[in-house]
Amino acid sequence: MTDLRTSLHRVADAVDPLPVNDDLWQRGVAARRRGQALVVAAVVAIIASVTWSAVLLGSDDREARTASGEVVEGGAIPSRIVDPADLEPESDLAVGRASVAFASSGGQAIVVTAADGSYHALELPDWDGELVALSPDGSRLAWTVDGEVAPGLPGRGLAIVDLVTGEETVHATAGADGDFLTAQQVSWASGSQWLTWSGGATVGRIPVGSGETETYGSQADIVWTAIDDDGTVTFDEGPPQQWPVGGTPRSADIDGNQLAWGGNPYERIDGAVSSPTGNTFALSTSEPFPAADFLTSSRFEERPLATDLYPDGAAVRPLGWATDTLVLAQVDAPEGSYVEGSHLALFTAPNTPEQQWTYRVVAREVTHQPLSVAVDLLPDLDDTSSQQLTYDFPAPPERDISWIIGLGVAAAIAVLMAVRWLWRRLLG
Amino acid sequence: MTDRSGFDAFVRARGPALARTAYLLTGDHHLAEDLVQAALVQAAKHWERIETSPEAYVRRTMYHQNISWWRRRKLVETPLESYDAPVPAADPTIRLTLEQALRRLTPRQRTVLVLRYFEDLTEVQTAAELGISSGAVKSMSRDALRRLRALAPELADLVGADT
Repeated sequence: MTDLRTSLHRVADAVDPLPVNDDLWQRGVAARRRGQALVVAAVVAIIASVTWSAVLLGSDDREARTASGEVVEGGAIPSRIVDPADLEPESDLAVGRASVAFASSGGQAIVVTAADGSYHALELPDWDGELVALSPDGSRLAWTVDGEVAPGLPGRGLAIVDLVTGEETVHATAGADGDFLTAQQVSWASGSQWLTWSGGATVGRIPVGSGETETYGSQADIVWTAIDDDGTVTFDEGPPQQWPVGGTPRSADIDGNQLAWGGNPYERIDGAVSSPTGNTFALSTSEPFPAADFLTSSRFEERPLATDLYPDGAAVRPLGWATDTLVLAQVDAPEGSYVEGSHLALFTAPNTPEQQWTYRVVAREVTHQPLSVAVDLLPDLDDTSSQQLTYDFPAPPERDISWIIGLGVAAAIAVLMAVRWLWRRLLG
Repeated sequence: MTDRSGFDAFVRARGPALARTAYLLTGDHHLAEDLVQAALVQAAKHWERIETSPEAYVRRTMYHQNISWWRRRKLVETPLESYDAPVPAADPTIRLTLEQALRRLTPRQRTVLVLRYFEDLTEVQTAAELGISSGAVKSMSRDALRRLRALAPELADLVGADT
């Protein structure tokens, strides 16, 4: 192979010197600067996009996140209700009329403002972390209090705040013996002017804005209580009892009929909401059942759920009455249902002839947290309104860490690039 | 010595040697000129980190750049049938015949031959320079020599038996 080697050298040696341009150095330096500028631009772009995403997700200003920036006149119930990531707590409770309220899984009191669909975590004074209840008109929020219920008097109570003015009143919740009780259940009247609560064997009635509380001590624990627009409280004490304003409780007399009581057929019931006229009560169950329960015209009634929608039944938790015959409920359906999981449904009560019954799913993506919804925000259902039943506000930040991952990736890229630069610099 | 003056000194001192290698790699004066200039621009771009041993960097750049250019020119390559036909024996000297035959090798084969028999690199060193395995270098080298013998039978003595 020596000959080949020699011949190759001869071929190479015969080459005339090649011209070399004088501007090679300038071209190389320019190329280096272009490369550095590109790297800087790429890093800036990554950091800017990640920062923008974080700002967007962390912003309290929902308008900034609303694609259209649209505000719904008079407010609306959002079509999606999610359990949000931890939000910055707000101490100013005058956030405006709300559409939804609930206790988040992160332990925050969340209200969704009606006009823009934005989520607020309210710092409710002395809230015990249990109940929040929004009035049907969305203007007031009640919550259970473990703290000062009167100046210098610690105890248990219910606080009510006007979400428009921020004005707050606190009502002690105590039994006949004067011992404080924790309200286990709260129910608003359809007109938002009355509130009833129950705890242990005590039921209470609060005329909103009066600062007063009236209580009645029963012989047995009270599981559910409801109140109509006249202030008449209906609650279960074995057979349901009715407690009119200025009177004493007596056996329920609904539509002029004494309730034919044969024991409580519905032990599954754990809550109730009165219709505006007080002649029908939508009852709440927490376990799947093939029917929604009602108390109407002196009897309990099961309003069957469509088996094609809910082959294994569903847990129905009434939230309020849109009209005297239509109930809005949070329905939790097991796997295999037409709409699985938690959703909102609007359906006819059995105080209407069966041939007129309707059932409509109005929001499919709804958190499992027990909700309180301002049903007055539902538009008129007489076909004269063109407004949708719910409004498609942009989604709030859900519980996720994607933006942290994004920042981490950007930081890792920056570190790797720095290490690479150092490595090449040191080792050539 | 500044970066710029160091670069200029390197080009002056090693430019002719680089040009010889570039010519063997490409078999064409213009391509060789382009190849050297492109490699030197890359060297200027990265001078800060290669100034201690710029020649190795420039040579490696030329080897890879030449193969990369060939891939882009591949569509206009001569069909293989005529490619392997013997070179007309009109050239009077062995050097010219070898030059013509080299031009008809693929850039990879030519590069392997240049590294092995002009730069005097071992198979392992050649493999490291090209980023391929030693086995690949060995087989490419064997194929290149076989093709040289086919293209120019009069070079049989030069390139030896089937190695």
